[in-house]
Amino acid sequence: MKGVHPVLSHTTLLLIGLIAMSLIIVSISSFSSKTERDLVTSEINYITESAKNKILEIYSMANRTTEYTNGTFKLNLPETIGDKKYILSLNQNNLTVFIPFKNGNIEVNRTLNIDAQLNGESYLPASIEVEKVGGIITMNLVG
Amino acid sequence: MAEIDFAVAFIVIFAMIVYAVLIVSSTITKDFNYFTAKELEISQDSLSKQLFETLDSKSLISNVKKIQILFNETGGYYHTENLKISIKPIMSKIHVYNHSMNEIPSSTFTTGDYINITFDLNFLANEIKYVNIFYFESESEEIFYNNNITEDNVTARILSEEDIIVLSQDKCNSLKGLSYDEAKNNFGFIHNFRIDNFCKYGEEPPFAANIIVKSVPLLVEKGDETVYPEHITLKVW
Repeated sequence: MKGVHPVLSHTTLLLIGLIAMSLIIVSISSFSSKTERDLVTSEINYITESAKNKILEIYSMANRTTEYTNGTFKLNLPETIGDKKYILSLNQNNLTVFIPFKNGNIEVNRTLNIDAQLNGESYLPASIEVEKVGGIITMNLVG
Repeated sequence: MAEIDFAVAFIVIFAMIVYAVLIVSSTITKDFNYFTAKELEISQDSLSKQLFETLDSKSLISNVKKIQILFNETGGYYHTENLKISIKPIMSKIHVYNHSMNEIPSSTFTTGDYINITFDLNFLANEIKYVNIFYFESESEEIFYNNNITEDNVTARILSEEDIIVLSQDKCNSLKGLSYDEAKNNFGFIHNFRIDNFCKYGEEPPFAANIIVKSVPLLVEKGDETVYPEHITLKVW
């Protein structure tokens, strides 16, 4: 940059560098935030399916036993996603996993459609109390 | 010279940033793919439980009763015997199978509150054979082996009645009566699935997809109330 004052040329180069760096930082930050959210959603999907699987296993067992059944089954699921605790809830025929997250909470729902009464809401660790009386199966989620 | 230093420094820093981004995105993609595949796998397991392990109105299975009888040849010579087993109460759907689950031709007749099943078996000297008797209607109250004069040198040991899960043709027909979306809603299933080998249901999976395939060994009930062993294939993607 001949004919340009060195201070001006250095300042211009510095500015270009700063703008480039800030663009890179903003892009990486946005990318990491989006991927973190996708990754957490993906992990919650997996946890929700695992919980559904466990509930179906207990239901299947209760369904095939005699008239009176009673028991408690621990849910072997991770207690946190990253460093955040999440809430598992059972309501009628719905299973919901909820986690507070920056830029909006993440919630995943699954329908169970089984002939059982489902209730309860808890952080992990949690258990499912199952009871079958008179052919009616009740499952309660307890912490 | 200063321009060259700047260009080299810029390329080095840019290359380091690109490398860091590639490493991070590769790790994230691996984690993402891992959870997606695991979710699909566990989701298939859930559907398999609903279809083949749960005795409710939505599943494909039903309950039949089975007794197993061990016959022991005690005479020490080859012979064919016509054997008779009596069961109370009277049932109309009774079938006899050998240890390989091939049906043995049998005939039935009733006497009082009992149904009598007769069938022929060949015995080698001191051979032990077992047969399975399946019936569909109710629990038995009484079962006994008739050691009458026509049954020579064959003793029987009757094992206790068992509940056996079979894939039901009627329930399969009910599933086929549902649209694909109705069936998915019925099971609260968010992915796609297909059942093969018996009770074919659902579309073929696409050529390019992550497909989890599971083979489930089950006894299958045909329309004529006979049963045979089969491997049912469940594909999920």
